[in-house]
Amino acid sequence: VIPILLFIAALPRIHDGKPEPAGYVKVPPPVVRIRANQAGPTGIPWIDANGWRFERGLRKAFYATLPRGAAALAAAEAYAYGVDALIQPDEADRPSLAKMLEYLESIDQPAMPLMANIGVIDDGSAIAGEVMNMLGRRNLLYRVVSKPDPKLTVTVSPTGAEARNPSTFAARIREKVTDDKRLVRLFNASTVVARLTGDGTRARLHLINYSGRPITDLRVRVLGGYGRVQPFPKDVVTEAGAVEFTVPELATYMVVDLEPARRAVSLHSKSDFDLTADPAAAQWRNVPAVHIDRKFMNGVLPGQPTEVRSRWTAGNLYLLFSCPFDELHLKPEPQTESDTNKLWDWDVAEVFLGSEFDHIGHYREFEVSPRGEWVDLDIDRDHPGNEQGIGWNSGFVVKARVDQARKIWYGEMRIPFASLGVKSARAGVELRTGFYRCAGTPPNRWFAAWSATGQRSFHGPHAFGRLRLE
Amino acid sequence: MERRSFLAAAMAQAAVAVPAPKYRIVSSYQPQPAAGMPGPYRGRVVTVHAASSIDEATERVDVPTVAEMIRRGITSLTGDRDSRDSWARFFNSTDVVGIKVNCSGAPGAMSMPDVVAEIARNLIAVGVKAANVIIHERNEDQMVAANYQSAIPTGVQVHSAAKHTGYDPKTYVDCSFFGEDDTRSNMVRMVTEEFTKIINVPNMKDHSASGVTGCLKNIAYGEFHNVARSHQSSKTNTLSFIGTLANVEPLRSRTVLHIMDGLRGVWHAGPFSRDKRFRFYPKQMKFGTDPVAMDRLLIDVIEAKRKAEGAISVWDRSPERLNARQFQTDPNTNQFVREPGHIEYASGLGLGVYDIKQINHTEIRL
Repeated sequence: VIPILLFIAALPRIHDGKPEPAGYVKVPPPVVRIRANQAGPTGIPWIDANGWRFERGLRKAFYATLPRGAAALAAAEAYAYGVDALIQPDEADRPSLAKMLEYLESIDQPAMPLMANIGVIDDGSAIAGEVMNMLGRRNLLYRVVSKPDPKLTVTVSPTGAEARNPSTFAARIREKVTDDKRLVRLFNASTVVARLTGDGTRARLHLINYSGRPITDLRVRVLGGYGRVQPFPKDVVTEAGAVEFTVPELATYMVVDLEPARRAVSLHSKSDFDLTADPAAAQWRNVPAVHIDRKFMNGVLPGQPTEVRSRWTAGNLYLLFSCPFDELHLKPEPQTESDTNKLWDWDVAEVFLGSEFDHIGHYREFEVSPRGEWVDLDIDRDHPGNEQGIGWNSGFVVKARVDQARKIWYGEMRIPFASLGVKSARAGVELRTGFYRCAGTPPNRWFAAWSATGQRSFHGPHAFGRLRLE
Repeated sequence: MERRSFLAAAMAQAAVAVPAPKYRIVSSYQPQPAAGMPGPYRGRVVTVHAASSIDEATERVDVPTVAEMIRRGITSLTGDRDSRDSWARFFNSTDVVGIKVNCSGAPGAMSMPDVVAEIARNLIAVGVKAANVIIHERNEDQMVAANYQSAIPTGVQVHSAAKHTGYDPKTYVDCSFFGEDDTRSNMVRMVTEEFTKIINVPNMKDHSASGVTGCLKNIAYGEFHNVARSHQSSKTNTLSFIGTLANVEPLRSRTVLHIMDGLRGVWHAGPFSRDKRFRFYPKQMKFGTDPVAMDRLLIDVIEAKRKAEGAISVWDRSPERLNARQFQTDPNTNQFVREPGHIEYASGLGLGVYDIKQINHTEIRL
């Protein structure tokens, strides 16, 4: 039997054949069991989850003859644990499964190492398996180790008498780890299992909801110095070495990407200088660049990134964009004497700059095109009906240049600090900043960001990075 | 000292002596000086009795009598002649007022819709917009069972926290009572983000865990989620948790008035009691800004009724009385070791006056 391969090999696949696929181990369907008025060791709904089997080493799973409602969850579970899975869905589940597979494909990226508090020395026994199940159920993040790992908070070997009650054993492990040191904590949900992967800088949190119904206002705390949470910017709080955020609604499964806040620097210049749109000019030659290298919603953008450099003087902020292109998408009959409305429908480099950290919805937008067209806007997201920002004039000036031979166009801006609400420009001042690029010819138009917004617009000030004057 | 009094004194002392769990309170809201609990009438309670307020056979409320009870109660509390002046001391046209009802035992035991409607009418009369009067409770099914829409003025809103705005993730009390997974209880988001003032309208009830449920319990467990975790087996942490929750800002500062509905009450198997034989009809309402003083008097009401029915005291902590299976039907059993000492504990937090000798209690009979 040849499984039907609907998507790329890394994703779960539908198995329509009757014989069991060779090399795959049959696993039970993931479900929640809510038994009202029955005594239980945990007092919270029981979950049949396969995470512990996967952490133990099962890499090829067969979700056979799934009951109705379980297929999308099974696909999510397998994907979250990086397992090669075949799924036999109930016929009624095919649409929801297809939707889940589409989502998995959209978020797919190379796997990162598993992050954990707890090491489990697994002897392969049933008790050890159930201890891992209980740890996972309580979001006490663990990984299987062969010997104690000093990098982990605690390592356990669940073989003795103390492990005979796995639930109690897991509770004791939690006490040893302490809640403050737990990598992940979830609040306002008792049927969600989390899995965290990361590379030391960024992390990906998998949230699997076994309840069969959406969960609202799930509060998540992740330990680590993350500054950005995609795609859930709501109620983000960073404190005590952790970031907290709210998932407004969790259906069956979501991933949350956590990244450090993006940072750029602007180097001081004693005096103002003429615009050249030339990175080889003396004033730009040794200035480090940051890269507009993300898809504006999320994910890494393939190809050569746009570079952004910055300098500052007492009165002005300078920005230089170096924009690689394949084909330019230019507005007919350009004019540069006044601003050009809807310039963003064509090739442009953009910067959003905000100086109000307690009113992040208020910021200014500046754009430059390859032929020196420009537009500046005063944006107030908290008062969207205000049209005055369109006619606002910052007094900024631009210069643009196209290098057809190297397929790069350059756009330079000089923006008066006064227009940004910066009363005294000095080293250490920071601006909330977003750099963006609109490029390509329809239907191959693409949109890039230095700091992805996680939404269908550049206008996500929650996602701004920082530009620091140095 | 009679046995009941001795028990009360001894058990209260024993209960208070137990160290409280370790609470971590997270709130960005600052106290508003002199606002909220215990308010301008610290230690003062007005009780209005009216035999005609409810028909025991039909449980039908006499609305004119209730209106008069409220008028007499509020004016006696504030000392004004005109009740509009009394209401205007607490509320104005800029306020968004949450009326925190109790309908966990609805429809048999709840803040009566006719009482709540009359309170809403008084708010509107002093300029509060009808749309800015929001009757609320945590759970949607309870609000549906109570059916406040049947009595309230046009425009007044009825919401459950669960269905309306949920809970505020940044305002909570964190505590592990029994090693539960979710250790946070978050405040109702309407309280933090919508209301400028709150009127607390509890119902006179016995309570399996806290002994009685009056002002403090209604405003505390009723404006936070994930609170049932404070009970396990026969142990309950209501002793310290109720006062701790009630003391969190902005709930403490915004709760400016308490009107306890005692037309109909529950003397055993609260708070959810479905058994009509445990209902009774005190036919009274209490008014005040001090929830501790009001709840202290509530203990006497519930205790007197239980004594009259031959039931054990709410202060009884005897292990042999613990029987969760029989509690719903046998008033001489307990589900938990009850903690009516939560009222005195709240007094210790500054929420009001517990000492009966210090309470200025006015009783009016219509």
